[in-house]
Amino acid sequence: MNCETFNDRLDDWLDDELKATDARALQVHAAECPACHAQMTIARRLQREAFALPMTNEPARDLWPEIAARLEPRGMQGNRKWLHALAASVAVVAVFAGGMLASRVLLQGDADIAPRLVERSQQTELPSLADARRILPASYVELIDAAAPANASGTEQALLRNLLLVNLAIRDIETAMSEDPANADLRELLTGLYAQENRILAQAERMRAARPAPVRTTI
Amino acid sequence: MTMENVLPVISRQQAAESEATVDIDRLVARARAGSKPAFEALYRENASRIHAVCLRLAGDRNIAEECVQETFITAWQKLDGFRGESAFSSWLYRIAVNTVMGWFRKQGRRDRHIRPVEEGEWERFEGETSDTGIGMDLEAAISRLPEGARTVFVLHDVEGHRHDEIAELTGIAVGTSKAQLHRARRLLRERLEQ
Repeated sequence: MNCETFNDRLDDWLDDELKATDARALQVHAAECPACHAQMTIARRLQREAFALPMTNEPARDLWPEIAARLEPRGMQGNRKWLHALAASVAVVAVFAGGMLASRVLLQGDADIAPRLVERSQQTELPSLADARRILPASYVELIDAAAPANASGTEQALLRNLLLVNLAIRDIETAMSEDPANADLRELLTGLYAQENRILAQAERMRAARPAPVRTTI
Repeated sequence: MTMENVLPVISRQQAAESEATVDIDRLVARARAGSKPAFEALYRENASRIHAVCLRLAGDRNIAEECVQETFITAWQKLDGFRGESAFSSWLYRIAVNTVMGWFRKQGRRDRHIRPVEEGEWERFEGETSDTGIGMDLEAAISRLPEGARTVFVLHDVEGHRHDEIAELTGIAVGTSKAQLHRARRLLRERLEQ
């Protein structure tokens, strides 16, 4: 055995993964080569020392107060429905984009694509329109009604339901923030939801503006 | 095979598990029901063990403290998923390793090795363990290893895990684990010889 082979096999020897004949050859080489013998000695010592290192080490300071401050009550863990609501709202907002696209397509007259997109926007389990109208601020409902009166396009439903989901998520996160005002993650989520709500309302505004003016009739 | 060449057959974590008491199970049950005092007791019971492994894996005191906090917060959040199939300490230990690995992943390429642990900082380890006088030097040398080599060395040579267990814990291949161990041992031998 030469020194290169010795070095290649030293780890396997340390880990008891060499065949007996190879292990014997390694030890014979070490007995004849002072440099490799020194390597073997320090490697074995290092291994023993490493395994003998203590398994415990007290933190320099008590970390519990900071941990405790970040623990949600376990009841809330079960009630983290705002997260589910948020996840649902994100999913539905994505679907909402389909609904909005459908309305644009309808405005452009492409009736082949629009029904498929609207159908997709209606596949997700959504809150009822009655719930949306009851819970949302009256000004929102008026805007949606003006932007997309109830019709076969489904846009009105998509707008109302997505606004409701975003609105519910905002309320839940605002509640969570009242209990944990320093939570930067919640603040970031809330900011994103406010922006999402603004986008939906702005889109509704644009749709209302794009609607043909009502025909004036004179009697 | 000589007796000298016999390696530990179980990891040190497994050995620690055998000392688990019924009280831990009760504390876990109460914590799962929402008791923060019970969870604090679990923290007190396990903090020094979790801190030791985080400190060695991270090689940085501040990161280690951050990872300890994240470990216990994650444990609290996931208590419902703890079925008692392994010891609580073992379950917590896996979360701790995952947390440090996650920290490395999040950091990506930037500032992975912020500040190695100074030699004096290892003095908080309980008791003198070195029979050859290299104990404290060894801790400092481990903390200065490159991240990948340090992770495998700590898990294999300090914690007593096999390469397949390291692969499972860290997500690296067994071959990578062996290569990193080889690299770590070589670097440590060179440094300790100086």
